[in-house]
Amino acid sequence: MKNYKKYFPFFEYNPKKVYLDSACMGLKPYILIESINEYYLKYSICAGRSTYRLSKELEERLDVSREKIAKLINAKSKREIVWTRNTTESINLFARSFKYEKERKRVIITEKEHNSNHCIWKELSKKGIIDLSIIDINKDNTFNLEILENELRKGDVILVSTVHISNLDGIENPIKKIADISHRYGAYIFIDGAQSVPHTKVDVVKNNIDFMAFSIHKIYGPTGLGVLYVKNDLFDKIDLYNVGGDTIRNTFIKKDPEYRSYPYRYEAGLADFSAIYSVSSIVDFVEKIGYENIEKRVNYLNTLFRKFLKNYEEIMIVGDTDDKNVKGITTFFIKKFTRFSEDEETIGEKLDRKYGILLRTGFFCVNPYFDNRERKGEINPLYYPAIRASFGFYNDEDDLEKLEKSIKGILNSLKGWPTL
Amino acid sequence: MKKEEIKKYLIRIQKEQPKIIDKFNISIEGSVCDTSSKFKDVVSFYILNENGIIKDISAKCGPCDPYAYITVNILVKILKGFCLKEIRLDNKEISDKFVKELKTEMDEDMRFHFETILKILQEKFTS
Repeated sequence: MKNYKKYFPFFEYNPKKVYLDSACMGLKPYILIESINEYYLKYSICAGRSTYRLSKELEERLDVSREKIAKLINAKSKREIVWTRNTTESINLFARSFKYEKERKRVIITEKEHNSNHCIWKELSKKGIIDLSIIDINKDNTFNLEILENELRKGDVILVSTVHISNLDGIENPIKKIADISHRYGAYIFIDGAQSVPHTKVDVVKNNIDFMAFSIHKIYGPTGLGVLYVKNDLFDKIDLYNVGGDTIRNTFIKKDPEYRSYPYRYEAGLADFSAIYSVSSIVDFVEKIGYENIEKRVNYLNTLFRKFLKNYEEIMIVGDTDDKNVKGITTFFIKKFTRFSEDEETIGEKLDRKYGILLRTGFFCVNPYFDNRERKGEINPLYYPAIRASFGFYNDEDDLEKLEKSIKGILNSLKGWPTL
Repeated sequence: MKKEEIKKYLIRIQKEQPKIIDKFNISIEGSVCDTSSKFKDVVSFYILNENGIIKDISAKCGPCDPYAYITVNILVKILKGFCLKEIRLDNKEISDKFVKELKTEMDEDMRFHFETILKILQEKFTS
């Protein structure tokens, strides 16, 4: 297997750690850090506000980043890219400023959305701005197109908002089909692409996506930068969000402000110049590695890991479906108590201390899913916490071996304890 | 409680599987520890109250650790027949029955869970 770890300083500083939390945060390559440094060393100034040469030069460099992100997802124009702070802010911006119609204000989400694609809709629903329907998915966590279509047939749905690849179980939703069905009934489609853009080549045109949100920090880029993609001709469906500095063309005492055109009118206040500046280098980096290679490596390791887990009766995989629908993320339960008092380490802490395995335990911000499945009796709350391993392309077979060894070790230590 | 005692008790619970009642008119939910980001840490009781007496009781538990699970299971067994007003931390009959069912003295962890969970019930009945 090709060694990709050499591109990431994390492994130089933490040589004994096995990083399996890429669904939360993609590690940062040297090239990113150099690029951020470059901004501070060469520029450290404002872009787009001043007329001196250096400021204009910086503005052009930032524009290149916008253009590269547009190309990365095959958007038709860089103007379809709005910079935000992260996926959550992108969804909030969109949801709060979308122009819902009086007679058509129902929004559909699923039970398996991240809290970022759940809470905002609940808030808007409480205020009567939208009507919200949360639809179930299949028992194996795959998307149920039939339930969606039945809801759409009612004719009052303005928007379907759903995740592309779930951060809970790595299952990829058929977004092209979801988009096509939604459009057939006059509804728009919003995609939470937080996990898909880092994993796979997402083509917004081919998939008929109207709106999409994702974060740069998961694509091995800087923290604190996100993207809202808006299909060009749909900007008129979105009202203003934050206003003030950088959004205006002119302001007056006795007249309303005149705002800039999109996407700039949605980017209020001083931008994170160093982060945006570095995006250009990170897109080049990802393209140099190649999505095909990223996907191949990540899915290969994940599939092997799932196969390993299936050998154990005391393990329950969340979203136990055909492995080919699953992209780089596996969440599972050990159906036993994994600690015996509050003073003891949690399983996540134990995996780190004893084996150097860095992964995530808990609910992964998909609490509504767990709540729903508990109510249906499909998840026993005694199994918590759920354990999630998420792979990056820097992971290799050696990491997988260590992960499997650690799980075996944990299970051996629990021998004799009842399976709940 | 030693680990072996916890293990034995869990095996017993597995065999006895407390039933979930369908008919109830009081439901109580609370959390024991501040660990909700890692564990569910929710205990729920379902009580059929007839004239101030616990006619039937069952519970669901997403525990922070086995102590919470064991505590909930024992309370479900021993509280049937008590008056709601009697569900109090200072009611020695409850703690005696609890220890008898536990078959060993409460250690610090068990006492903490017993008291916290009983307090959740007491607060509901005195509010």
